Formats: sequence, C-alpha cells, structure tokens
Amino acid sequence: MNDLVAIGSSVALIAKIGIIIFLIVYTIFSFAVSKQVKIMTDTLEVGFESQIKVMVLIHIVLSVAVLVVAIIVL
Amino acid sequence: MADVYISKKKKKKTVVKKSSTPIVRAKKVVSKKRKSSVSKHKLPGHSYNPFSAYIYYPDRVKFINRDPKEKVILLLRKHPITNLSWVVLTFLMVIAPAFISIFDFFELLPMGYQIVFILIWYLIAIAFAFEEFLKWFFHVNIITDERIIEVDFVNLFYREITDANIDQIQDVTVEVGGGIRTMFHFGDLVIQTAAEIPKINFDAIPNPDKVARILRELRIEEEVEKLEGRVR
Repeated sequence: MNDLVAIGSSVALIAKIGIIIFLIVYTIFSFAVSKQVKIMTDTLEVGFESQIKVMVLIHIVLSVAVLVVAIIVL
Repeated sequence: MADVYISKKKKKKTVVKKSSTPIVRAKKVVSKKRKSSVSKHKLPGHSYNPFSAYIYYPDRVKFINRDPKEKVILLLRKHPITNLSWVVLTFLMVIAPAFISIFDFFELLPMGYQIVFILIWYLIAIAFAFEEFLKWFFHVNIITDERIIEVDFVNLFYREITDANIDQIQDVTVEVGGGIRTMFHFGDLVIQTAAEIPKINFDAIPNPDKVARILRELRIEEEVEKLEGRVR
C-alpha cells in the first residue's frame, strides 16, 4: 500500500515538473514572439503596430501568470 | 459713398486630363489633396483599414529599405477568406474544453491539474491564433512607382523580402481558379522578371485583374520616363 502511495506521489511530482518545464519553455517562446513582432514592425509599418505590441505584452503576461498559477496550484 | 464692386473669387477647379492613365490621374489627385492639406482622399480601392487586403495609395505604409522619393501605390495581402481555416480551428480549440467531460480520465485528475491543463490549452490556442494572424498580417505585397516587393515571414525568425524593378517585369499572369476564388474574386498573380529572382508570386490577392492592369500602366509609365530621360 505504501509502495502504491509512493509511486503515485512520484508520478505527480514528475507531472508537476513536466508542466512547469513546459510553461517555462512557453514563457521563453512568448518573449521570442515579442522579438519576432519587433522585427516585423521594423520591416513593415501599416498603422497597427502599437495594438500588436499591446497584444504581445498581454500574451507575455498571460504566459507568466499561468506559470505562477501552476507553481502555486500544483 | 460710391458702391465698390467686388468681384467674386473664382474657385479653383481640380481638372484632371482624361487622356492620362488612371495611375497618373490618381497621382495628380493625391498631390493636389496633399497640397490643400486635406488628409482624406477618396480614390477607388483606397482604405484606412489596416486589415484591408487591397489598399490603393495607402497613407501609412512604410517598409524597410524604402527610397525617400518612392511612392507606395498598392498594398496587398491574401484575401481575408483565406484565414477561414485557422479561424475555424481556433474556434474549435476555444470550445473544446466544454466537451472535456467526454474523457473520463480527465475527471480523475486532481482539480489543480485540471485547471492548469485547461489554462495551457487556452495558451496554446492563443499562440496558434496569434501566429497565424501575424503571418497573414505581415505577409504583404507592395507595388511602388519604382518596384514590386514581397515581404514574407515564413516562420518565427525567418523573413524573406524579394523585390524587382518595374522595368524588369517581363510577364504578368493572372490565375483565378476554383469556385471560392471566383466567388470572392481573388487569385494569384505570377510576375516573371529579369531580376535575380525570376518569379515573384502574389498569392491569393483580391482583384488580380486590377493589379495586373496597374502593373501594366506602371510599366508603360516607366517606359515613358526612360524615353524622356526622367529615370531616378
């Protein structure tokens, strides 16, 4: 019985670590998207750059927020 | 006191010769409007909407390596209907968590894991939709009075900018095929050039016939400029 509990807790720990690693990678990706958008807006301006930059900022905030929620909740 | 007659000031009319090509007429209208400090002009196909796929004489377009004297005549994107596939997919991704109860194993997970999985799912949906939007928005074809330019962002860190001078254009082919393309009036424009890159494709652009006509007029104008020795 104790072995089953130990296996269950180790699986949960592995899942938790996996999710957090995924979210860290995702946060890095969101920063990469912001860099990409900067390159795009430097290449081409059509009068919608500020709104796109705000969208990128919201995306970064969301990814960081989900990472924090995952660390707290799991 | 004697009456003094003051004649009415004659209003200046903006007369544009009908003998000139539409491009030349449009240029004259734009220059006259600019001179009279009126920012809005109503040319057919002109739009202030940054999402428009066909903008004739756009006001705010600037691109890298632009010559200061170069005038942007057309800004083209893929027709908005081409976004339908990823919009539908995003919609399905957004509503998918509502049907998660179909899978029994999901409810066996602790509540914390369920919440985090759903949040991750929505993050992926947002990233997917945003990337697809960016790809569509920044993949543009620009026609200026001097050259044609294709700006393409293939993936996250790879951009491709192709350009060819107007006088290097050798052949322009309009391809409109299929029911949807005929119904929404969009198609491909294949431009063969004498430049280093022999072919430039304008994919799924609206009004390809109009664009081909504008290119033809620009080529004629370029020829006239060459003959008159006004080449920049």
